Amino acid sequence: MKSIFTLLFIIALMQISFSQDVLFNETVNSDSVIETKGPNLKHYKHTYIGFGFAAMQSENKSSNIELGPSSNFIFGFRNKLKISNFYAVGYDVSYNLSWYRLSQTKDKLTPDAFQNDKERLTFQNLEFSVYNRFNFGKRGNIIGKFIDLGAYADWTFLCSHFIKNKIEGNVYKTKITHLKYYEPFNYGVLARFGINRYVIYANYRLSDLFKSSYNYAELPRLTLGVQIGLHK
Amino acid sequence: MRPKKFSILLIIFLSFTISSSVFSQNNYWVFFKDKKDVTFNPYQYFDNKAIERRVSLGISLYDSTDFPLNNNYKKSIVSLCDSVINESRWFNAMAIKATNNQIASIKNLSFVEEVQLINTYAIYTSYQNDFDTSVLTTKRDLLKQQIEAMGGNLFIANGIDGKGIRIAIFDGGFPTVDKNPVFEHIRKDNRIIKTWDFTKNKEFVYGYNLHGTMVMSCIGGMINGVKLGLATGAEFLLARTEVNTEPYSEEVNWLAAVEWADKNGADIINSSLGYTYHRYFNNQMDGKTSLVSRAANLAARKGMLVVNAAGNDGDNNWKYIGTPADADSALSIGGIDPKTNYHISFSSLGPTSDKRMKPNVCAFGSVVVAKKEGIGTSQGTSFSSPLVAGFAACAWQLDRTLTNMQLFKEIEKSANLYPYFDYAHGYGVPQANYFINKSTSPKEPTFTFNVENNELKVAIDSTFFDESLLFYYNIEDSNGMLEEYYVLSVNQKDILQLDLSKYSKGDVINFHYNYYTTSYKIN
Repeated sequence: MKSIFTLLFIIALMQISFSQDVLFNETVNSDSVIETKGPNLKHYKHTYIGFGFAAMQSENKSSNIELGPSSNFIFGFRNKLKISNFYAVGYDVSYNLSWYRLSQTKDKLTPDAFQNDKERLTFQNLEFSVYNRFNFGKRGNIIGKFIDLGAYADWTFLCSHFIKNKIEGNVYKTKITHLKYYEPFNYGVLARFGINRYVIYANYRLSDLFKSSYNYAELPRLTLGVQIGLHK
Repeated sequence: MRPKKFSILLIIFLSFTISSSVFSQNNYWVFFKDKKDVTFNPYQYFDNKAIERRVSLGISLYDSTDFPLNNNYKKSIVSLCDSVINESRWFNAMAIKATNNQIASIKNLSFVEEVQLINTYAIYTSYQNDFDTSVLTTKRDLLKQQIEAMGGNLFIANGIDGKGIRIAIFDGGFPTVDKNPVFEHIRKDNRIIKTWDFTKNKEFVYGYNLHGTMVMSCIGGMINGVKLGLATGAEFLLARTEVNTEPYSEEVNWLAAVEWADKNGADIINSSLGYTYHRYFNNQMDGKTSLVSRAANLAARKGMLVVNAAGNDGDNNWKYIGTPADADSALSIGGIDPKTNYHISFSSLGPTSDKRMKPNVCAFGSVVVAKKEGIGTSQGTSFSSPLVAGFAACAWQLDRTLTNMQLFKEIEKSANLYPYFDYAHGYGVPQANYFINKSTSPKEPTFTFNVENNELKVAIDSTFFDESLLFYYNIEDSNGMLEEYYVLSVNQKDILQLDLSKYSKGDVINFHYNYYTTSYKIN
């Protein structure tokens, strides 16, 4: 045992005696290879966040919403494959949280005719989209100016109905899940205009959000908003 | 909303976005095929000092690149475009604003060689500002070091201050240079020869971005008799070429300014600016692709020493030097950290994309500079560059027989690591004693190495063991290209042990310690 300790001690001493304190180093070959990944190179991927608003009213008054508070939040991952300096294709995978504040009017029928202090429908989606990107102008390794045109598909993994009422000074909040009346899959088309990380987007839902058997008037199909790419 | 309404909305959205992208005006370079039927009188065009420089360097006064543009060509372009931004005699070109339709007509003109879209963005090569209201002890030390690191006290002791050398500075503005006490000695002797704001086409440059003021102070600033830069006796040409809010014309202004500097007799140009990813890719940093890089090379051909900051991209995605620091004839300056004396993290690295060694030399990347009132500290290779520009002015004053490119080489040779180099430090920090005493000492071996069982061991000689120094080594392939490079702290005499089996036959290992450089070739 003693000899093992002695051996370990000698090895440690040798390590110390030849320890090199590297303050700075660069390996050139691996660092100098021609890059293929970058904002204006063959492959580029980045995350982004976005915030948008319902930009039109519902199909009719029975589903009317309050336009300002009805909005959505997106966090996504974008992948781009550059085909030429002017054209690229790509896909997005994102989490999309949309909520619609329902107007409390005498015409209200969605999802029921009851009047509440506040009421909203919230859809939590996983979204997949594909797009064509058209770039403008000569540029270096930056994203530059672009227009995207594409299509998306959503899977609504959770739809909730929130109700808030104040009765005799007490606030009552209710959350209803396991709803039957919404379509779990929907799809639409998209358009985006961007300059580097800053993007204006428009999504238009082509499919219906509610099952036809329920006869609910459709909630707004058009969403306008901004996205910020989380990259340089 | 049904699909019909949606289509209308989508069309409006796309019309707006497409029109903003496609139908808007752009800036273009229009290159002409020739300079037919133009007349040129160098004695009317050039400043006396520019003529002196040409004569002393044996450069023709009738170089066609200095001839004006053909007036008829210019008139045709003016009639077709929206407005003229600038023109370049050197490149026989006009920079214009035009719509797509206008540019299509211009392309059809018989005398037009080529049309290039201008889309660029210049980056000041200062890293961050850190202004204080007083010079604390640490700043006094730093101020002393930024001169001493280059052995500048030797220049000072010998009365060398860049007298007779004319330095042009290209930057974003020079606020308070007309009243700041740091430049009083220059103003007193009327040594600001000319100023021009290329972004507004007027003389006034003493406003806007403070960057130029800080840069100028590192060339020739002085406060209470203490120098911030070494060329306190030099003459200055101040050109404002950059506007933060107008990103698309700086490269045009840089080109106009370099011709202006030449015309007005500049010996040295300091440009603490770099153009990188907004227009270019890393693989275009070859000294030939960008117009500014070609202009920097042309400026060198006309006898001027172009000193350019390497850039501050060492710790970000771009990583490598920008342009025009990639130009073969531009003296590219990297930054070192005054606290450690080796590469400061943000200083951009070489080599160029065509594998030439850059930066050429380095200087402090964290310095004391002039601010609007008094002095403060700042960081960036923006300030390494003017420190070397000031140094170059002093070196040139000592020997006016040197051509600009001879001076370039001499500055490299004077540096403290020479002949050792790497892509972070170049040849190291230029040293005044090389020019004053024509020597660097000591040159005797400061370390030894031996090879046993395919292991190379390096030991520092006891006489030269100094923990405040650094040990450098690199691995160079058979083409002279570095594969790896290192800086080690000196904390023991047995400084290095390398397993040679990792390297290829023909590779060379270069070592440097305390002014001594030697190599070992793997057979």
